[in-house]
Amino acid sequence: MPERRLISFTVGSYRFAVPIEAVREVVTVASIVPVPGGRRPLEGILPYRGNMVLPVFSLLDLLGTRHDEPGKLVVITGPEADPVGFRVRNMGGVMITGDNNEIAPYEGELSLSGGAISGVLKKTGGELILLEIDRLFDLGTMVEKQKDHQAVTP
Amino acid sequence: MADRVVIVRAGDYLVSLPFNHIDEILGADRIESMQDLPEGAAPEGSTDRHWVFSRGTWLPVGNLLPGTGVSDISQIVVVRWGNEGRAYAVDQVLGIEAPGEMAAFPDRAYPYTDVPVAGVRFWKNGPVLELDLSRLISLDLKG
Repeated sequence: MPERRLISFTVGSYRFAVPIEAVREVVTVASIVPVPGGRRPLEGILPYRGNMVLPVFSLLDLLGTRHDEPGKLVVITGPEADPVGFRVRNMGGVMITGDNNEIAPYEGELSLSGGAISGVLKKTGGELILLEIDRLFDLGTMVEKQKDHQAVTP
Repeated sequence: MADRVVIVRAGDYLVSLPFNHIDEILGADRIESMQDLPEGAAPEGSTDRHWVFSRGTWLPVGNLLPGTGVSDISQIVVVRWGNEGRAYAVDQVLGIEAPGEMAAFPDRAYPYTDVPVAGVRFWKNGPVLELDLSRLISLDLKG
C-alpha cells in the first residue's frame, strides 16, 4: 500500500480520517441555510466564495446513523466546480500511513455505504475510521440511495 | 444589467421570483373561498380552498413553498408562465430588486427537496432562494 497522508476529525462520538488531498478547505460556519422541504442527510446550503452555494450534508446520516451534535466547522470536499460540505465537531492532526498492518476491517455500526469506509486505523490511540470521502459523496451513488430511500418510505 | 426579481417572505424564507413573470400582486382581502365562487368558476372536482380573480380568470391560491407553512398571509403573487397562471400566498412582498447574479442550486442537493429551487441570490447580506417557476407551476398542476 502506498504511503498516504491522512487528516482526522471528529463527528459526534466517531473519529474519522480521510486522505488529506480530499479536503479542499475547512471553514467555520455561523449558520447553514436550511432548504425548504429539505430532507436529511441534507442539512442545508452554505454560501461559498461569494458567488456559489454548496450543499452541507450530515456525514453520520449518510453512514446510516443519527446524532444531534452539529459542529461549527465545515469540511469542504469534492471537485472545485461541485464542492460539498459536511459538519465536524473538531479537526485532528495529519498522519502518514503506508503499512497494511495498520488497517483492520471495519466492524462497527456505521453502514459501509458503497465502500466509503475502507477500514480502521488502530495505532492512533483509539479507533480511527478510514473514510473514502469521494465514494461517499459520489453524485450518482447519492441519487440512487435517495431513490432507494424513497422507495421504502411510505 | 442585473435581473430584476420580486422578493417575498414566505414563512422563514426569503424567496425571489423573476419580475417578468409576475402578473399581479394582490392583497389577501381578494381571496375568496371555494363556496363563494360564481358557478362554474372552478373546474369540476377542484379541491383548492382559496381562489383569487385576476385579469378575468379565477386562479387557485397555492403555497409558494410546498411542504412548508406560510404563517401570516398578507399578499398574493400572481405568476404567469406561458399560458399558465397561478396565484401564491406569501407573508409579505418586500420589493422589486436587482440583487447580484444567481448562484445555481447544487445538483447534489436536488434529490433531498421537493421545492423547485433554481438558485440563490444574495440580498442585504442574506441568501434569497430563487424558485424555478416552470417546475413550480408544473408541480402545482400535477397537484
